[in-house]
Amino acid sequence: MKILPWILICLLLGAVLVTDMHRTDPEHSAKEKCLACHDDVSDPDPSHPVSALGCVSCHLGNAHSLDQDRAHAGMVKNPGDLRFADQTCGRTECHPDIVPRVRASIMATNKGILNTLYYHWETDEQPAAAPRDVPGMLEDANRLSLAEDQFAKMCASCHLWKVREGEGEIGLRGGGCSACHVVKKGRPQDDPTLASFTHSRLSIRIPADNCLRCHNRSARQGLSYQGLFESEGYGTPYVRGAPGTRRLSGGRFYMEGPADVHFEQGLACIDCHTHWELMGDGKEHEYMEEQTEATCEMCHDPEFEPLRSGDDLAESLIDLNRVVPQLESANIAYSPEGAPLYHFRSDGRQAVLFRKLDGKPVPMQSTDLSKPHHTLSGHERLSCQACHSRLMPQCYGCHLEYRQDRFQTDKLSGQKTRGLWKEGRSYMRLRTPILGIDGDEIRPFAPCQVFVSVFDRQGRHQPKDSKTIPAMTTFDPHTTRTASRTCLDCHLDPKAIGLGQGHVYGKKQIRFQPLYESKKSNFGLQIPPEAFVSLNGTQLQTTSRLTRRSFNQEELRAILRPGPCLACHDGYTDPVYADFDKSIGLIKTGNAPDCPVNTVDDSTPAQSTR
Amino acid sequence: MMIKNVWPPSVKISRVLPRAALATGLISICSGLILVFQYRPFDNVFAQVEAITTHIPYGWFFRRIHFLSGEACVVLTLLHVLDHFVRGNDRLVSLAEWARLWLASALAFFLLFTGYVLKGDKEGLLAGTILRNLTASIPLLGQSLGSVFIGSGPDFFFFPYLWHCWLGPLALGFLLRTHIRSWLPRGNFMLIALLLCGLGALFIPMPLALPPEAVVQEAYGPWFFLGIQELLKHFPPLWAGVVLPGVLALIFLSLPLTWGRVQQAARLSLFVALAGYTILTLALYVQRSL
Repeated sequence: MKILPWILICLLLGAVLVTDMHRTDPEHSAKEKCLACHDDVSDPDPSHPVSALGCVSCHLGNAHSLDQDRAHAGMVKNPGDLRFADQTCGRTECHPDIVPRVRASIMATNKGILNTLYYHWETDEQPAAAPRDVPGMLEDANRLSLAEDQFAKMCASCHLWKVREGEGEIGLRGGGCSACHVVKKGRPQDDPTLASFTHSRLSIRIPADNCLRCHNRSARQGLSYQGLFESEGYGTPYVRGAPGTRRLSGGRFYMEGPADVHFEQGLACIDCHTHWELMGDGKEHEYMEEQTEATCEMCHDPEFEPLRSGDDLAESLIDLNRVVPQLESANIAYSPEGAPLYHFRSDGRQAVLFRKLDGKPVPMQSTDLSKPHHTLSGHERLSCQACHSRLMPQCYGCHLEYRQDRFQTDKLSGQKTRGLWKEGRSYMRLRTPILGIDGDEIRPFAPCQVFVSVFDRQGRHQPKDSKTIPAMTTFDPHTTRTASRTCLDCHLDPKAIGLGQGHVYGKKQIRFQPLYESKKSNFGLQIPPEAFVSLNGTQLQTTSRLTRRSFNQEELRAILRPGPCLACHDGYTDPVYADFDKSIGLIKTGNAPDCPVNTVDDSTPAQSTR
Repeated sequence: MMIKNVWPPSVKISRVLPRAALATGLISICSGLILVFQYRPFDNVFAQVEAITTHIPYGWFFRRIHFLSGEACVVLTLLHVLDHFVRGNDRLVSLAEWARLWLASALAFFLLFTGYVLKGDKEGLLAGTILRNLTASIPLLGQSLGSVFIGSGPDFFFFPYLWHCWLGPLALGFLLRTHIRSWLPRGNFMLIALLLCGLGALFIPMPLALPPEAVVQEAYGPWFFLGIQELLKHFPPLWAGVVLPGVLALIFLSLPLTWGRVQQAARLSLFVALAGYTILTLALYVQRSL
């Protein structure tokens, strides 16, 4: 029996010896042991070669272990995820300045959406809670107001903090840096051990599809830009007696219309929108428009200059882009905030915009802003979009149900909490935009109307808590056409100036007869849904910004005033518009005997028949 | 007296526990001596530890057996102390001896804690930082006391290394010199301990180590620290991390000085505290595994 201990010890040592022979790989000299297993992985892009950066720089994990579990401990599947981006993309050696910008940007904070919801939900009984943003709401899962509850359950799948996982379009949204910069998802090759696989492809040449994953709802700029219009849910026009087959994500039907002229030229979103807008400028803005800097003038009335001294960003971007030609001696344009438009150049004779996605040149002609249609007196405040945005998607009367007797998943916390939000639509149109004032500019407006029906915990409708929010908002619809609206389109179209569809008439006293009598219908609105303003200048629908409003009475009068003249004098260069007050004076004093409009009385206040 | 009767007299656990603790302790010291030649407490400590685990022949085995035997030694020592506490043997030793043994027990836990720090992984780093912050919260002495246990900057691991590999074991030997009659345990204890720890090292992997750069939502300390970690979430560090454990340790230390109802109250409070801490730790383990 005394030999038994020795036998046992020998057996133990033998087992240790055999195990050790199968465990270690002392000959593997790679800097990172990940490559001992994943030995055939494609590069994410030429700037991030696996041979130089390895895996751990981006994906973290344990570079020193050959054991699968130990090697993968702490690993991050998506390095762009904003929760980890400080240690991955944003590490000191790589892009430390960009990650804080992205985290503060409007696409990460969603402050624009939240502020609008706070504004609409604020009542005397329920004052808006202290405003929060997405990071704040991720940190604390308590929803402090109905606005936050609505955001968390309906809107919170489109922000950069969202974890990029799941199926369908929603599964591709979010993911921080990867939301934009992953241009092709990786895939394993025929190797169950994943020793060999195609890595997701990274690029700064971001296709419009990446933007469209989110920007295809609400204002629907992404769709409009391509000439797509999200139509009613009826599936019209029918094909062979059945609903049409043209569907967007979520089963939404669409129809085709004229695309934006820039889309027809093959321009992608990144050809106009600069890195300051897309990745933020480091400031936490309250609304999207504060972060947006792209202007029409940036390209259509540009100023070219040599590369600014110390601006190595332009050259870096050219190198990283790889399809836009090298700069050589050409001058480039800069955005208002100083972002280098490295793809937009001039050699002194010809301005050329090289498309960022494929490098193809698009010759550019500067817009002649001295032509009469751009200099006509009284039109100074018109934004480019007011005339050149030909169509604008308009949703009237979204119906929203808030049911306290049901539960719904909070998209930020992942928890199912009390309160279910359900959205329905009334009717949607693709029509010429309504015009209104934003700051000191005339801009296109579209309705953003919400009818909220609230149900209590017993499922009973609560009319007292329910509310109707008739609102108008302005955005660039991304439906730009070279040909602008005509004079008639504004001066004789009551809908364009915010009165709504109907008929303006009257000689001594201008009157307006709306096409649709909301009061007499059971629509729930006391005003026509398209009416932004009444003839006496009273604003009928709210906006979510103090700087936005409908035309006032004086402005309405000024717009309607030349209406009668347009039947004969329909050109910008017509001499009657050179000094319109003088022309009116001639009519009043009877010095324009041939003019059929001989009883102009512009001192009479406008009145509505409503 | 009720507590005293918890253990049936037929179980000679009192004889097994100290011998098993000594056997596992010796295995831990021997395996530690092998590891210490490959360990430098500077630069990228995590990479070194992983190199020991991955590249150095048998390094993985010695790490595992060192870890398992060390943990076993402390657990067996704790049970040994508990056994004597339940039996009321504190009354049989002098205050000086009791104080030495008390200090040795605390040192055994400190060795386990410094071993946890010396892994150089995320949790080790956090544990070291927490210890330094806790000691720093002690009025007047805190800052200097903290720097005795945990360094700062490039020396972060040097002081735990000094304590774990050299000063701690030597101090432990010194404190136990009169308590342990023979430093060489019986062959059967040694053999069983070696076989069990060896088999454990063959089949039980080390706990996963997160690299220092890893982003974690929540980090956990060693098993005996989990309860304090939870208390620290709800109470000020000085109270949860220093005063409360300190008071309980002092009550334990002063047991030989107490008698009658005072001693009964002291024993009861210690028993309740220990039971509560055990339940809290187990609950946290269950919560973590869910």
